[in-house]
Amino acid sequence: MTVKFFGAAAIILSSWIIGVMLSMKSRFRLDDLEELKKAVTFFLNDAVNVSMPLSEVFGDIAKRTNGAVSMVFEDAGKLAEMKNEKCAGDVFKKAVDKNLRELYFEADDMDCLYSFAANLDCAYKAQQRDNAQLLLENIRLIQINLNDKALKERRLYNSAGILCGILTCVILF
Amino acid sequence: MSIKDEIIFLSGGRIRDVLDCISASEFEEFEEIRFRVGKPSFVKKRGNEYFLLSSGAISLHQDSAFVAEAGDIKTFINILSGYSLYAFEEELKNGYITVEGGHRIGVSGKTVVENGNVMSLNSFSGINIRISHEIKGCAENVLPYITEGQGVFNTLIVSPPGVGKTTLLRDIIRLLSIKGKNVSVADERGEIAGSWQGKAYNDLGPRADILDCCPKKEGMLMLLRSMSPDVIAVDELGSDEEIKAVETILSGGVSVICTVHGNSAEDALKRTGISKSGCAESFDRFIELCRKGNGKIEAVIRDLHGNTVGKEAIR
Repeated sequence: MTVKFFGAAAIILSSWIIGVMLSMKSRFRLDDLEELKKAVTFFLNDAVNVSMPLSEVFGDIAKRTNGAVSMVFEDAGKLAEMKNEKCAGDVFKKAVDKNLRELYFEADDMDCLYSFAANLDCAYKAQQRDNAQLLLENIRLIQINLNDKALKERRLYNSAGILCGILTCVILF
Repeated sequence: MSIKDEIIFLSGGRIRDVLDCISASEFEEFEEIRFRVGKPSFVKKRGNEYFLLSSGAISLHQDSAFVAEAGDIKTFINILSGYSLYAFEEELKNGYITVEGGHRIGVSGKTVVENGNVMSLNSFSGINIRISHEIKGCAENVLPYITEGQGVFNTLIVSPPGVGKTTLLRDIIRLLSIKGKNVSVADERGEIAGSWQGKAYNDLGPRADILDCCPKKEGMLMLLRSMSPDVIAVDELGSDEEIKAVETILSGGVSVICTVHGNSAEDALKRTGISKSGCAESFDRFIELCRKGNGKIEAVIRDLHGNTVGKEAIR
């Protein structure tokens, strides 16, 4: 009986943990989006207000951000310094693609990032500012939708995890 | 870092491949390298023009000259600016980018005009790499003519483009700075000091204060107010506002050394409007640069009345 009790508890616990992990996926994505938002704010200051060249802008952002987003900007800075790509868009896309596995971004986020990259090659600071502000606005909209989704998912997966555990116990015992 | 290394480091694409084939020693002698979309490329060496071949060699014959495509020019400019054309927005309005080492990259293309003002350039059709040469000591022969005791004469250096005004001005600044003068430099185009991200790549001596990429008029007045200079140096004086700023500086008792485009001092004074301004008679020395055979440059030094006080070889 004791063995059965502890076995059932272990099953329910692990099932609940799986549920929590699944609900955390949106949380990780939200964290990455928040970090990207921070990076774009730094970008606005460095590129538009201080007129720093992109290689330095990317390097500076990499130092001031964390996680996979920081890695993207670090790689973009290195690629820009190597001067082997034809344009800034190619540099940034390559850096994003290199770190794709580390990022929790989904299709919508990637579209925004690629669109940002495609508009990096502009001759005006005003264009650069508009490009960054568009990305910030897109991030904001994604975050609003994702926050609601994350809340629902947390409840759903947490409950589903526990229920699945109980169901497994009922079937097994 | 050699001139070749500086240019190669900044460039990219097919143009870099061609430039990379040129020997470093030959690169030192180049004054200009021109690329135009769909046209043969040229180099200017010791005042003479040659075709630049795809192999990196130079020739008087057009056969197998390197022909740049629109994409080559665009890639070159993109990479040259560090993928950051927006950071050169103000310079592009004037049709050039000054890069690390003080080299000036002139660009041509389609202008974007708003309310009659050029806002930017795009669809680039050609580039002219004007190679900056730092020739230390080239002003040694000229210096005695523009200094008297502890004083420095107000001096105007005149020549057509590409003869060496900036090179001479740079060395005059360096020598005056070594001699103990506080020389303030309003370096609007970044060509004198060759500044890049705040670091001066050309030697202007120990007492030179550089205001990089600041419009000349504002720069000269800022330096006058803030740096208590003995001499203010400025390259390519031209607009009425700049001449008025020079008048202010002269009335403040500070010496001015500046360069101006022209075939002669008289021509330059008339063309720029200095002759009509209040400072026309304040210039004590005029240095006219002219190209002699074998790429040699001669400086003819005249006084206020146009009398020749000396002739000296610059290089």
